Amino acid sequence: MGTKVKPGVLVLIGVLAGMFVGLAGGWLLVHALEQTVAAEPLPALPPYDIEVVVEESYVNRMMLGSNSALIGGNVDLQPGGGATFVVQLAAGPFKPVVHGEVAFRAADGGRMAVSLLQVKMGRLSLLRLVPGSMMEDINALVNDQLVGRVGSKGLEVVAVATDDTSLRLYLAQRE
Amino acid sequence: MQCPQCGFENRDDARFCKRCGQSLSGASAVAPPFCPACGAAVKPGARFCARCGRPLAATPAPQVAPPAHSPRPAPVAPRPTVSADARDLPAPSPSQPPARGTARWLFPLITLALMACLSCCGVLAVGVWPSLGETPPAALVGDPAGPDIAILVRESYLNRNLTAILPDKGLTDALLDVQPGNLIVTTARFDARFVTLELKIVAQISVVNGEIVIEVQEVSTGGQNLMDFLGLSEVTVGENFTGALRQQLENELGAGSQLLNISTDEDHIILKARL
Repeated sequence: MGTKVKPGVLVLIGVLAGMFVGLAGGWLLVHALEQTVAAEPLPALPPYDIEVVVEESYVNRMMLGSNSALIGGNVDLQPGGGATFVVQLAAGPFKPVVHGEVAFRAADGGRMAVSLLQVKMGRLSLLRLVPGSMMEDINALVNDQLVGRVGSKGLEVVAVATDDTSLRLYLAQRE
Repeated sequence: MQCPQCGFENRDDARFCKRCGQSLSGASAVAPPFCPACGAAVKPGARFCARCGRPLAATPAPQVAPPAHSPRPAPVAPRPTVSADARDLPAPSPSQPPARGTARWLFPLITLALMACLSCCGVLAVGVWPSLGETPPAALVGDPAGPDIAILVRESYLNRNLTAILPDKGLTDALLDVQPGNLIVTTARFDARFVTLELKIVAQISVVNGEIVIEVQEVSTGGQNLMDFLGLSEVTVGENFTGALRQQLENELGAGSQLLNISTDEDHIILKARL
């Protein structure tokens, strides 16, 4: 016959084990979601026909006007083809602030590609949780609002660059 | 006399049990111990009750009988002291329900799961919490009347496109040179009816009421200004050359844009607009 243990001891063991498993699981969850994508280096500037300089203020207006869930925020363009952003979301009674980093590159097909390098809500990384369709929507919006509104037909984006205050698109006539 | 140890019925004057040798004399005769919780008989020296598992270490060894069940300290208890195997006894008292295996572990398991969930929520809350009290920086508004974009059209691109259009307008071998001060100097051959002229066209580009205006300042050949001859500036240059250039620039600007300013440098025509 095995030795019997008091129920109180079992409860205590359960609580302690639960806390340990829970904390360990939570810690693993937070760190498992941690992800930062390194931006690819900007390629050398190819020959181009038109340079479009987009002001940072327009990028901010475009972002805030793109989604009603965004109730505030800021896009800060950085040299090297990227930008950091801070946006406040309307999520029911909560208004969490999300920090992130994006990279702008010229993509195949003569379009500009926006890729997420990092998204964080507090200490929790959300990069793995961002659905692909959301990025497709963002890319479609950016291309419509920027690339689609300048340049005549037959021009395509061959390079993208940024400095502290502007986003620069380099367009070239399709061969 | 019944032996308190093994229950064997000895003679009344016996001093020791005939079966097990237990002393039967005096008050020190050890009665069979009983579990204080369930009343089941337990073996002498046992540390736990075989029926309910209650620890017996604190139980006084010479306990004669459970007070609730045996009002008199008789060595012969009314309980079935003969059976040593307590598991065969009937159900214990209702005050101590039997601990079944599933029920015994269910509560700790539920507690474990609950604490795991709470801990995960706690960690997530701690992770996300800083974002809830944060105030984002204000968006850059910029100059409400200022341009959103600047479109820098390269001279080489204009030449490539215009030289494809201008022959249809009677101008061939055109070469456009963008110069600072909003000046555009173009050289081209103009095929007049009887003679081919080497033309130099100087035009100034500007914005009036959001529209591109290209004003021809000089049309000359061999240093001779031809502006006043034959309406050349209006008919040929004004409509053909400036019209083609304006159309090209308007295409680059895109529809729906509000043109605010136009300027030139050594290599570009720069259009500034609000989207």
